[in-house]
Amino acid sequence: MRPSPGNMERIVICLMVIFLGTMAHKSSSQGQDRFMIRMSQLIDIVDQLKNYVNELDPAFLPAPDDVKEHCERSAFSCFQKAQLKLAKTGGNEKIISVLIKQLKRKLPPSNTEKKQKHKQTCQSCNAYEKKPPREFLERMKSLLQKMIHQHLS
Amino acid sequence: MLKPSLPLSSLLFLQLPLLGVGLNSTVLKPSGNEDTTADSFSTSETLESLNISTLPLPEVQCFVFNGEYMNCTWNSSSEPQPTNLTLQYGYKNSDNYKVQECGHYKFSKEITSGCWLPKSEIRLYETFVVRLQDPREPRRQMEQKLKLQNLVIPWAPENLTLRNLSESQLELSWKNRYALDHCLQHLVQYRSDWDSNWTEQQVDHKQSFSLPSVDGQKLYTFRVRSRFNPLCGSAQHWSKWSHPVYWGSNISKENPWLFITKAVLIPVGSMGLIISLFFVYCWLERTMPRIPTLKNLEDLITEYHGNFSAWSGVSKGLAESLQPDYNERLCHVSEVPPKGEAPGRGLGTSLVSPTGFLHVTP
Repeated sequence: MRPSPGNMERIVICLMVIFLGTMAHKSSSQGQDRFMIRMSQLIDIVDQLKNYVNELDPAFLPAPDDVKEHCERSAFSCFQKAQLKLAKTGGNEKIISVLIKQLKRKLPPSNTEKKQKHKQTCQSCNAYEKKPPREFLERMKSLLQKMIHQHLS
Repeated sequence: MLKPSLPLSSLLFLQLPLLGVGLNSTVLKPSGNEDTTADSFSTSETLESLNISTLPLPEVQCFVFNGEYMNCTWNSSSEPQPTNLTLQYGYKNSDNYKVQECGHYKFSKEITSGCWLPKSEIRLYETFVVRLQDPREPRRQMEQKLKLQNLVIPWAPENLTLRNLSESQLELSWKNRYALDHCLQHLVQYRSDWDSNWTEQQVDHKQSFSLPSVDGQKLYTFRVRSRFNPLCGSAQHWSKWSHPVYWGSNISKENPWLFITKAVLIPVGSMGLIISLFFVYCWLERTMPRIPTLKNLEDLITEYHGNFSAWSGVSKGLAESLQPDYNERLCHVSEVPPKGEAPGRGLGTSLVSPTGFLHVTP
């Protein structure tokens, strides 16, 4: 017995809903892992860059600290946008350049952002205090640790 | 004539206030106190207050225990006089912060030595400002800014459990009382009863550790400690060690050196002793003559034809060496007879050898 066109449409829609639901669930669980993996990588990159801090340009950079609630991502983007660069040739240019480039990769979303319903008014990057590279990296690590703790809580 | 004296008198008048200012400044400079009683301060008192206000205050050390409470302590015995120092704290938000007095002081010998803060007062990711102050000298104070996320010490791991993954593979697992497991890294130490030192392995973010091959004849000991590092904080202090957990056989508890002694040295030593005794016996057998037995006496006649040395087994050389090679020259000694007696009577002639033996011939 052949199904009618109306029934066929309903069947297709149901299958699509089931399929999309499966994909959404899979992507959300992978997204959380991806966020933690990425954050863990960033902590490692910052620790590596701290070893080469004497080869970085000593110019002061905006270094957010004591960031307001829900402004962590905005503050982190300030760290990513900062002009962290090499100062002199010390034989480690390639590795430092790779590390700085890795810092600027986009962050995957975390579950805390999904829960946030309204947008917070956050400070612009220039409003934050400027610090030399060593303290810039320390504050960046501190912010990453805060974001990880919030994600795990 | 008044005209030339006018500048002189005005100069005199000017000097008076200058003198007054000079006096005031010598009183105000050390204390900076514009109180009217400042004039009554003696020099020694101003010097004393100067010394106290410049005395450094002890450093405050704060630790957050498992995120449940915080203790901030200082060395109260470093003060020259017992002083109940006060502590104020606050959190830096933008450029300012409000401080509040410690609500729960800790004491050492009835002097304040620390402050206990509950969980509600702990914010790990805001700059913690702590100020220590001398209440007798309010200008004497010290402020410190701390990052509490680097000062968290978790409780020691608990519920250490061992299980066999396969015949020789062991898995150790444990639990932490800190709510967020991923915030912690762990250090596992293990050793067998044959090892003198611990072997250690760092484990990040998971609460299990696998040992690929274990010897069933040994007794293993495991222990773990944890640290709030590096994902959620950069703490340097580890927790205390967990209670140890054991796995393996009790049999091999014996000291390996004792085992080597029993298994090797004693048998080898005994064999050596027996062999040595055997060689000694052989040597004695060769050098010491046999005592002839009466049973074989007739062999002396029939077989050896009276050759005593051959029969007895004494070597010819030994027999000759037993022969005396000493010849004595006899010395004639005669007794002088008393008067009236004819010579030749009495005991007779005696012969005395140089060795002192008396040979008497009748």
